[in-house]
Amino acid sequence: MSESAPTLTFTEAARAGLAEEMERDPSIFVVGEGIGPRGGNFNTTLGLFERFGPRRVRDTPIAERGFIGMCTGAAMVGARPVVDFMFLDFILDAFGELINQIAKIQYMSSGRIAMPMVLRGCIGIGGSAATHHSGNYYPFFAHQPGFRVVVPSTPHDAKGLLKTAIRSDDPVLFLEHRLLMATKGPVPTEEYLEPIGKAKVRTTGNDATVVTVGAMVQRTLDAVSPLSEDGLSIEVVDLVSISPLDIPTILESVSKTGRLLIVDEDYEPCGIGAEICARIVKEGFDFLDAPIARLNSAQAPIPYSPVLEKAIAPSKEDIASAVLDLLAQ
Amino acid sequence: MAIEIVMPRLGWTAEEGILKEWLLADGSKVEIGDALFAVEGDKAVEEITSLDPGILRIPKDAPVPGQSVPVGSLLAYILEEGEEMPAVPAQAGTAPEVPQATVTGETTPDASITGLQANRKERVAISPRARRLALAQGINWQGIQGSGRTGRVVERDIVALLRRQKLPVLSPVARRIAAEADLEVEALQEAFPGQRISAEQVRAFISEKKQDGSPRQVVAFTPTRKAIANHLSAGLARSAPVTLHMEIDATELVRLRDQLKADARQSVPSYNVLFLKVLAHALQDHTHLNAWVEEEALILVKAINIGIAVQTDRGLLVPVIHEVDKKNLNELQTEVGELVNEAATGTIHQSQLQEGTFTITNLGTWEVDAFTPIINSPQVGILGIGRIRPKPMVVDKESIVVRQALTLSLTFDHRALDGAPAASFLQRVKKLAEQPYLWLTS
Amino acid sequence: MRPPDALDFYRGMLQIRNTEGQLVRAYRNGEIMGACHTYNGQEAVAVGVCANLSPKDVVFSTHRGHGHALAKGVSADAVAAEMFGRATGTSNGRGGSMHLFAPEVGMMGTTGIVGPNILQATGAAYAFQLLEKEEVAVAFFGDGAVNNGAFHEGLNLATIWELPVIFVCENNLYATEIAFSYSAGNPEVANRADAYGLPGEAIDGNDVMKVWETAGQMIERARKGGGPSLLECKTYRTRAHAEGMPDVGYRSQEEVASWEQRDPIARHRAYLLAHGVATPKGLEELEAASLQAAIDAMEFARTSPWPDPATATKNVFAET
Repeated sequence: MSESAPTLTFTEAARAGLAEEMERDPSIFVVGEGIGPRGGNFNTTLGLFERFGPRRVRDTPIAERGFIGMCTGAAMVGARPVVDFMFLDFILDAFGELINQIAKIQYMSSGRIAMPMVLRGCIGIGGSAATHHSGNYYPFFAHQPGFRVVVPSTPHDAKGLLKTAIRSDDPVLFLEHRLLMATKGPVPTEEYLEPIGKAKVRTTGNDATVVTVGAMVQRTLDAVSPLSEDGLSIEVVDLVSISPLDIPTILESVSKTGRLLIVDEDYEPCGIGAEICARIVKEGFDFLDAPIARLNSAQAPIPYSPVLEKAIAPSKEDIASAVLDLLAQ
Repeated sequence: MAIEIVMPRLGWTAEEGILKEWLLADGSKVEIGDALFAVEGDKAVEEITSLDPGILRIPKDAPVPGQSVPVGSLLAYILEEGEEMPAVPAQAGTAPEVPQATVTGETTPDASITGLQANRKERVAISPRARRLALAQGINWQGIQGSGRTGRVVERDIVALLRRQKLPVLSPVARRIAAEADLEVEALQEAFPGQRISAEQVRAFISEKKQDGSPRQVVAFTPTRKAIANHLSAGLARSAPVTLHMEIDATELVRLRDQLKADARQSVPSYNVLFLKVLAHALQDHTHLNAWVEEEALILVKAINIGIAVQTDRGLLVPVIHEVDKKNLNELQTEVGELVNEAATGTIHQSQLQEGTFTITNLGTWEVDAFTPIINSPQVGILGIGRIRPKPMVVDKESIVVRQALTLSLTFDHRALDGAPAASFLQRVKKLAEQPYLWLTS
Repeated sequence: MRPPDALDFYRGMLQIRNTEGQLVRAYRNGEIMGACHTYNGQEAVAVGVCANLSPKDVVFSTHRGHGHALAKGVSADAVAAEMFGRATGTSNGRGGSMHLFAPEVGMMGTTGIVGPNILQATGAAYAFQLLEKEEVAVAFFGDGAVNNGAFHEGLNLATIWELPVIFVCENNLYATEIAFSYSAGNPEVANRADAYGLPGEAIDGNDVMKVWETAGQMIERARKGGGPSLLECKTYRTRAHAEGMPDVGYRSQEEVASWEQRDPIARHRAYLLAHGVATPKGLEELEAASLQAAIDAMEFARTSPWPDPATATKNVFAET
């Protein structure tokens, strides 16, 4: 990264990536509720309606199943839709379109029909959004053959991954955590792409590995940083991509540390942690010096009151104590 | 042409149906759409209509009403006027064989697992990582009190045991060679007490044994050997040694020596002497490696006193060249020559074996490239020098040329400093060795 | 609109009828697995509509889609081979009856789910409008789909954006075995168009000339930027919902017989003879050739190789 890289927010970086791609390829169009002149609930398309016009930046009725099914057909004949669904909770109405159509059409057509669709929008716990605007849900899509799923944690990755997602001929879920949208970071001015399926080691260490994703990445870094004063060095791996999972990077880290904790804001049962755990036990059993640990949100819908909301998601303190507990194993 | 009437499939998963009754008699004239027979399926009784016109003929050995009949079985024929029933079925009439797909390579469970079930009750809980280390080092973990939660034996317990028992630590290659030669670990332990045993040592041990004829030969330690052994094992037990390897391009060093050789007026310094000079410069910048580790402190020593490991008849000796940084190449060459001679003849003075702050050991003569030197306690570091040999190298990122390669092996005490500064020191040594003019002029 | 080749319509409908006839036999023999929903009785709709389409125009079909595939130009060989599960099928044996894809000729898939194809046709039309192409999209669906939310959302989206898409409802009176008169508060389809603000028309779906003409007008309007239309073709399927299912209990034999009297193929045959388009002998020759072609298609499928099991996990993603 060049030192002169300007500082952008996560949303600004993603928007710059979207605009660059739309400039490059006229078959790209965006649909969503309030993404036209309004510029999107989260400013994801601010200024793009004026720049690209109503056919390419298209306000929709509140009809998630309708416009997602519509974008399926558009992708089937060569357009490249970007669905801006605002909240991931909203597209559950289109689950049949997602699972039965979008994820399967490439396969059912023996690869003759591509499915270049990006599904982007907000996930995550925070801000008292309550249960219909706080869902993570990404394991659903990682479970299913046919989807790519990315959860960037920095403005840099947001831009590079959104550009890659738009260029991909596969359906990609690009999920933006609410708490990250206003965070700032350096973003190169020159063009770059980030690969889908590659995890990033955010800080190196020898005593334990913490694998995490999304908003939990910074929270984990904040949690483990004071531990270094006690001589503990913790390696933090940012998954970046939920599907495919970068198991080799996790395996390499665990081969060094022998201990693994998976911190995930989504629920524990049948989740990303379960998948990583199974893969590491299978492929890296002899590396393990302690049982693999998981830290997730409590198994309940996401409540409204800030006190209750805090009680659900893993906090910095929860993460630190989970790490210490792992080290004591 | 005879048209076969078979038991149809009613529903996706139906494997058979009950032939309820014939709705037309054998020999009846049939039109398209006429009901031929009734079948009882899962849901209902259904009448099966004819898709063809002709004469219905039911063979004598056909299934009879009331019978459950597999889907696809022949029930009757539709024949043209005057046509004979076929003697054998025109076609098998059953669904074609679908090849068995084997997409994934999943196999049956390992048979050996069942054998392990018997051991379960007495099993000591041990982490996979600790178990791997224990197996590699031949440690029996039964009876160890593990420090993990629930008493599980974890990696640190095996490491501590290795330290406590001063068991020989075998390199993986050494362990394999020993195993292939049916050599007991205990035998090696006797031969090389308290030290890390290399593949070379195991090979030497095996060849000695072969020459000997008797299965074992006890060679009593000389006092020097004992002292060496004690010193080495003490150093190992007290330190936390880590070895770093780095390949360097020694072409310029070789050239320097060749040019000095070519000039008769010059004495030619050995590689050890050249490295004394290199180290003196590098240690000036990396003072943490020119030091001694005490119980809870690191003593940085001002003087740069470098020892050279010398193989003698009486064992390993390490004469020390004091204040290397204050001497030129000629002086060093002369002093090293004298000390090595005195060490070999046993006339070396005790003071010349003391106060070393760093050590060089050179196995290049024996064609060794990389190895894991043992720290000369209480020093912080020791530099192993391998052989110099021509090797293709990438130069300037694009061309491959033959250069003189040499591998350096730096063992340092992790208690005294971390990996990064040690590596940085090794990088400095590399640079000075690759570019001797950097220090020749100083 | 080019003048119709009425004989072509007859040939097209016969091909569907004969191919279905042979597929029924193959199903009984166990050579076809899974589901097999025949199109018998509805041939005039697929043939009449698709006669107005070029290979670049796209069709999104239903679970009862063999007729749409054949009318859109997919070979009977490829359709039969797909249903036999063979490597030579439209999707190399991975789709079967309900997943017949042939994008090369604009056949964008039959489907196992009722409704989504309405949305997909709308989306294809969106892409044509965005990319400024002249192509149109057609969604075929039955009366069962009309009560599904996809119908509501798709027709509304197509209307507000004036997309070049034709919604063709084949109202055959039953969704599986549930009568439309039972499941719909308003048992008419065409007049629902008013609710969304697009033109709608109900016609005799067993009259291939009428289907061709009406669909042609709607397609022409869409091509010229006039937006979507809803076409309700009143028709009837004369075989059971699916092969292997009893066709009893939900409709009377009299009802089936009365619709067989209105069989689109017999009607069109009479039309051809009455208008002197063909002679009885000429039609007989054509009929024999059509039957033989259907039999040959089965033989092609039967003798085709099975797919390589190693291909079972291919094409999940674009690069594989």
